[in-house]
Amino acid sequence: MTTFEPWNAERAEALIEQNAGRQGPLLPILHAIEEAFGHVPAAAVALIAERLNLSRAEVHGAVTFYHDFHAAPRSGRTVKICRGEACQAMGGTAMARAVCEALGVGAGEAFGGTSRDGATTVEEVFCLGLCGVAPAAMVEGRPLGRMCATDLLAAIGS
Amino acid sequence: MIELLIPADSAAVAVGADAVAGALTREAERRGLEICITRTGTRGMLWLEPLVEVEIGGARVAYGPVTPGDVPGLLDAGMLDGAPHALRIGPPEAHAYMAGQTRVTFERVGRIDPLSLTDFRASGGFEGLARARSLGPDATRAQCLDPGGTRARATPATLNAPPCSRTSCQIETA
Repeated sequence: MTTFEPWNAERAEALIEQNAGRQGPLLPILHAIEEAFGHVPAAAVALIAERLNLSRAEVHGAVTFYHDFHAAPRSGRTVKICRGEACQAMGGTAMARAVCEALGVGAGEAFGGTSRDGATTVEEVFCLGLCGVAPAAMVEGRPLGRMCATDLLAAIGS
Repeated sequence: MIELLIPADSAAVAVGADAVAGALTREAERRGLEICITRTGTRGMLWLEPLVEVEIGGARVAYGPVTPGDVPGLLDAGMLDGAPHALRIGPPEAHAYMAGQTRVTFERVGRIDPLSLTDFRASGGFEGLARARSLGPDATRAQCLDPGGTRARATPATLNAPPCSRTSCQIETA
């Protein structure tokens, strides 16, 4: 499981500074913060807004628009299930439903979330670009194709 | 030393290419077989991934889709000599999916290690640049502007280079 650093304002400021000179610095900064702390806390949003001379609302807007950024810490392993058309056509919907039910997270309109034991967080993505080996998923950054519920649950458990 | 080629493309990795490469490395070591594995891009025949290609006498013979569990059986059958096996698909460029294609941007994909400058040079890389430098700025500019032929204008210089001399590029087409 990926482990993240505890929140540290000085470390966050260093990450912001490293990327502040780039063209279009907001997304690289958000990626760096997310990678270090596993999420982009409100404290980081304030620091970024201050440094880039943006409103906090603008930074918050970017954090909440892109699903790769999280406003709150995630728990456990992250599983991304591709919900794109090719995966749906190859049985991805039934696979996703079975996996979500086994983990006790939503599989309908409100898809994904953290499992009851806190060990797994499921997210939907559109899409992983693995259409040729659909249905696809990603466990802790590892791409997985030609999945079925049994294999995906095994990959999550390993 | 026998060269094996296995894609490191995301789709190939998603269906186990890393595990197949690992199984081949371990099983070859156990049997005292000398192999080297080059990671390439995928040829795009994703239903055959993980696709393992063996370079034999300057030609390629492909097997796929291979699982780690298939590896001992493939080696028993003589995969390193291109021997028959249920997973053998033969020369990859002679496959029906590939045979009718003319690849331009993807010409080298699946043939070379995309991060190897040696492989790139050996398959005609930088020949256009070398030619431009030997012609000098004026002649290069003139050739780009003029005509001399529409082909000269429409085609990158590397595509006008002679066929690749690297053994692995002489794909068996029989």
